[in-house]
Amino acid sequence: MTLRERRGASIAAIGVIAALSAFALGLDAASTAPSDDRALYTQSELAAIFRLSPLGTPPADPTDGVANDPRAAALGQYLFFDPRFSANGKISCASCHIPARGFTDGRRVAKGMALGTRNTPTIINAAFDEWYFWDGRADSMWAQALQPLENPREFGGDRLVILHAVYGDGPLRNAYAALFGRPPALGEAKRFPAHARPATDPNSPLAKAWAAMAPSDRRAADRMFSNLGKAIEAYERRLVAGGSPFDRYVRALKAGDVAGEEAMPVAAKRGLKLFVGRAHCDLCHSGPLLSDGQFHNLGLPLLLGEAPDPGRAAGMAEVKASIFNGVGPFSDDPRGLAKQKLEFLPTPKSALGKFKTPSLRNVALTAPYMHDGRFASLREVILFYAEGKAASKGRLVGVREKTLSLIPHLSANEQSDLVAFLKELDSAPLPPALTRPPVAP
Amino acid sequence: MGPHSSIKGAAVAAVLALFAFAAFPAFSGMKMAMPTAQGFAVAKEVYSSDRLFLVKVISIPKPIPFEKYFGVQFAIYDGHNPKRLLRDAKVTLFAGMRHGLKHGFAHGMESSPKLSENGGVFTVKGMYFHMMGPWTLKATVRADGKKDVAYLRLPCCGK
Repeated sequence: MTLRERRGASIAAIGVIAALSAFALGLDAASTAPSDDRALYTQSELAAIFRLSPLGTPPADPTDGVANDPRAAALGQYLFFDPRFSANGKISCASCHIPARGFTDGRRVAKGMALGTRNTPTIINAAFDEWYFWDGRADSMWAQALQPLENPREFGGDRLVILHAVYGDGPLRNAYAALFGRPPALGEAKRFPAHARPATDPNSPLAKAWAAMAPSDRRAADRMFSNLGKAIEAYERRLVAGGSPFDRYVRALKAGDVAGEEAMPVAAKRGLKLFVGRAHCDLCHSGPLLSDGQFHNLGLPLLLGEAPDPGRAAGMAEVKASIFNGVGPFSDDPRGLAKQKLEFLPTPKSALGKFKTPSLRNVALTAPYMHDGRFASLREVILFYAEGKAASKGRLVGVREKTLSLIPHLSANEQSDLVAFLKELDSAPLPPALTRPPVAP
Repeated sequence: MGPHSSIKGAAVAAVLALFAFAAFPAFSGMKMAMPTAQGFAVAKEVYSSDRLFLVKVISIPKPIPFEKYFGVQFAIYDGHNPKRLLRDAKVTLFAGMRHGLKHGFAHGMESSPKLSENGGVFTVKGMYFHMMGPWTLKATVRADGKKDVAYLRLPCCGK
């Protein structure tokens, strides 16, 4: 290479460095010179950002015929806050889904009658989900609502004691009857024992009592039980919250509203650019819920003393076997999407160790994180992803999804930027009337 | 350090920077293809790797829906005689995303589609794409005592 060629090459090289530096510093430069933020993002990044907002309205749930009935929502809200359905009379849905904590409990794992094994997910915006629980073992919100009532670690109740509690409370029984018609003749103690439920151990007193009931009475009890779940769903469907600073920012971006683009700080904008760009977070945290609603194996190694959790693999078996699933006798529309969801479930082997992608809306309010609550802060979560495969050393359940390899090394500043972005996803507070026990059902 | 060595150093740094910038071409390419109408195009037919078979797509939603179940119909033809429908072909399918992997898949679908055949026409129900970007439908075909694999690129997605 001649001296002239070398000089030419050096000028070209300096030009490249300058261009790359300008790209890298683009957000900072833009922050000092007011301009439309759309210039900060590539076209594909903008398209990805626009797919994340606004939140919109929840999809219909045709399996629940009263999902949008305000009377059902009022009854469901009453049930949600009522502790009488638990074995010790102290636990309600709101014990773990605490309104002031983003409808979570702040604990690593849930605590009802005993400690559970999984972290309490929020129910804000849960109406957008297609699967419930970390392992998707319920395919509707109403079917989800029933399980804690009979879980020994949560309410520790059984469906008959719960039905009797509703039946024995005049206003509750009236509210139920107004929606669903006359309840079964629960006053007939010989037909409807005080305690009964199906159980895996056929020799348990609860299972024996259940087996001793007439099939038609069992069916009537199941019907009433499922209706209570549908009322709770009607309430939970109203816990929809968008209106975050991020939503305001996207609205301003779409409109080219420069003043409105101040809705998010510069660090959060850098985080957003990473989120939809180089860090590929939006591959799984996609759509207005910032979740694909599906299941992934993140390669989380077992913690000391933690039992292997098969996750989705077990959840699929449970949802298929449940009489309260979307194609079962208590579904109000066993066709359509409900049928497809169960018909095309993936193989159990492919689902081992997978857990549902949580929504990132309100994520700053819902620490700790992951299905077992192992990470106390968002910073710890981001660090886990940033460390790549090295963070997955140890015993895994199933196979770590290779999609995670798309996440590049993230500097400490980049990790901070992502956390800054996530903190802009907190929604406006829900109306107070939705976050406290109602006076009457 | 003389002026030439510093120039050389700068040039090397620039080249490295370019490499660093282009370190994930498959990923950025994936993103770039998504919003355009052309990006949603699905090939109407594709030969298997050794050109033993020709997979002709009969029907597929345009664009492929995002996070919704959909179906595909296709037929298998003789790769050396593309007018000859192979009515006895056996097909197994796998759909997934490669995310830049040269071999294998980064992940599959969150569904198990059902495959049926009638008169040489294969119908797949229960396809479900939960992630934006290019998906690959891998069809392993057995017919005439031979086996070959065809890869159909399915870009995801419309709304």
